[in-house]
Amino acid sequence: MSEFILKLSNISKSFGGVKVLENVSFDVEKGSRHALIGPNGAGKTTLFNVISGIHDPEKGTVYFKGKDLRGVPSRKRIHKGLSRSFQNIRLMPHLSVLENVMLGQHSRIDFVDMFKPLDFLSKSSGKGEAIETLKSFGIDLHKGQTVSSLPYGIRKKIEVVRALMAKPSLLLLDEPAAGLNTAETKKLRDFLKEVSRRGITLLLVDHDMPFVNSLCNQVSVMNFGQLIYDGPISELKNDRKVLEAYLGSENNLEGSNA
Amino acid sequence: MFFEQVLQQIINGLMLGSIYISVAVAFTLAIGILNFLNFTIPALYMFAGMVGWSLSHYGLPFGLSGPIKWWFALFIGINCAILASLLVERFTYRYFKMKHGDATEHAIPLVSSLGFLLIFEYLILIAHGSDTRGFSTPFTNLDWRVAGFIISIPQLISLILSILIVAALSYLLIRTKVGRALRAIAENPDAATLMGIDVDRIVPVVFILIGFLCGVSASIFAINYHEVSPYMGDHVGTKAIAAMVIGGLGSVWGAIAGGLIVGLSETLSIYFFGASSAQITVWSLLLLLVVFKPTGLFGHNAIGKGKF
Repeated sequence: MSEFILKLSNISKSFGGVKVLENVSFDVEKGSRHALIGPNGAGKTTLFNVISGIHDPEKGTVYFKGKDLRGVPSRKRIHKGLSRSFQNIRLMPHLSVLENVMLGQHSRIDFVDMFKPLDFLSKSSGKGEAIETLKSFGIDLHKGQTVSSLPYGIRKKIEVVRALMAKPSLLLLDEPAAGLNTAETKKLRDFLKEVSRRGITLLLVDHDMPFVNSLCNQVSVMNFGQLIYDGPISELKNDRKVLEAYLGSENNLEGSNA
Repeated sequence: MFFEQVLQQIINGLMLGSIYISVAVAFTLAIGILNFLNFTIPALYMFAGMVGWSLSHYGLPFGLSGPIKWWFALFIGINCAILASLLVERFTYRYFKMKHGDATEHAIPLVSSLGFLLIFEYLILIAHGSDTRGFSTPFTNLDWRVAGFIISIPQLISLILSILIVAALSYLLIRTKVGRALRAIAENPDAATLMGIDVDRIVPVVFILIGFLCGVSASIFAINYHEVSPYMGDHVGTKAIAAMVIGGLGSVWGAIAGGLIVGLSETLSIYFFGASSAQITVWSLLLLLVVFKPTGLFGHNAIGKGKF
């Protein structure tokens, strides 16, 4: 039997009378690369916000590693191993690559330890760890440059590395490939496969079907706040409901350039 | 003779600037990290000085002790300023963060901090009246005469101390983890929260630093000018704001330059045009500067966005 790292059970959420999520339930298998797809406005980002604790669901429960996350603030969810990146890059534009990545370590740092004056000289500073991680993914430090001056594709990767510094077991990625060109998307895919190989479960939202097809093995499809498909990605294109949701645009589901 | 007198004024101006440096840095921290123009700062400065004077003159309240040694009285004064600063944090910044999710989109915290300024001032007025009080320390007439110029040794030490404190602060912001967290909050408090940074516990650190800087600056003033008054904050407050803007919002080192420039222009203006001209000179200089360089001398376009 497979082990589930994340279980969503009957999640409902509405904003001002509009039902954005309606009884959404699905599980994410440990070690899988799970995609969450659906047309715009289907509620994918809202579901991400519920999972990461930005919104509270009206109904339903999020279980992470078998534990109910109700009442756990987003800051503490990171602590438990649930990290995320954002649709719009949320790096600190005026800090360096290294500093941005090191910010990702803050969820693991005790409040009192932050005041150690000579910490930057010691091994516990986390600098070595950050440099190692960046190197292992082949990302240059771009010394002396602020993040805002770097190309979009690199910033996307840095954001993922920053999320990894929290040592997550589940990584939520909101549209990681959005705004990237084909070459950059391929690089990101290989990069995320490498992340997955290191034992981190991925749950990602994306519109780029070739990208999703070539990266993920599981997929959940949402439409108008409801789950309409949940299963292996290989059987997705045979599902009638999904095809209807995408209104005959089969090409959207079939990757050709992946 | 004339040049020597002007040079002496320049020396005095730089020494006066040392008072403004710490207060200007306190302003620049609040606006640089929290985007909050904290008007309580002059009151915290005055509060530290008056508490120090009261303790060294009367001793602890309710007759708990006789007059306390001047240095210990000032030490307690600094700590009182820190506590008062935390009180301001609780009822301006944190209150709005809890109620509206964002403290700085509103002008209300600024107005609330003005309220605290007046409340603190009038509490002191009720307690001690409006008179200027003499603050006695053993350091009188400790002058150093070099080539005909008079340099007050306590003032020189104060200037060096001010710069050292700012250097330490700059080090804290650049080198330590709490500094990195503060700079992250300056750039984007929401994203910082999602990084796992405990913003609610780190923001009070800024207010502790503000209280400390005000307290130190007031102590330096009391030691060098041998007096304190309930209005001492008003004089320093406006000059420190000018110093902050001249140096560049959010720039800690800019605040040093701004403080020294304001101190210099004040003493030179008084020397050449009389006592009433000081404010006109300082603020005209500021207005001219912002026309030609709106960011101040060391400021950046992104005002207060993690540039230290």
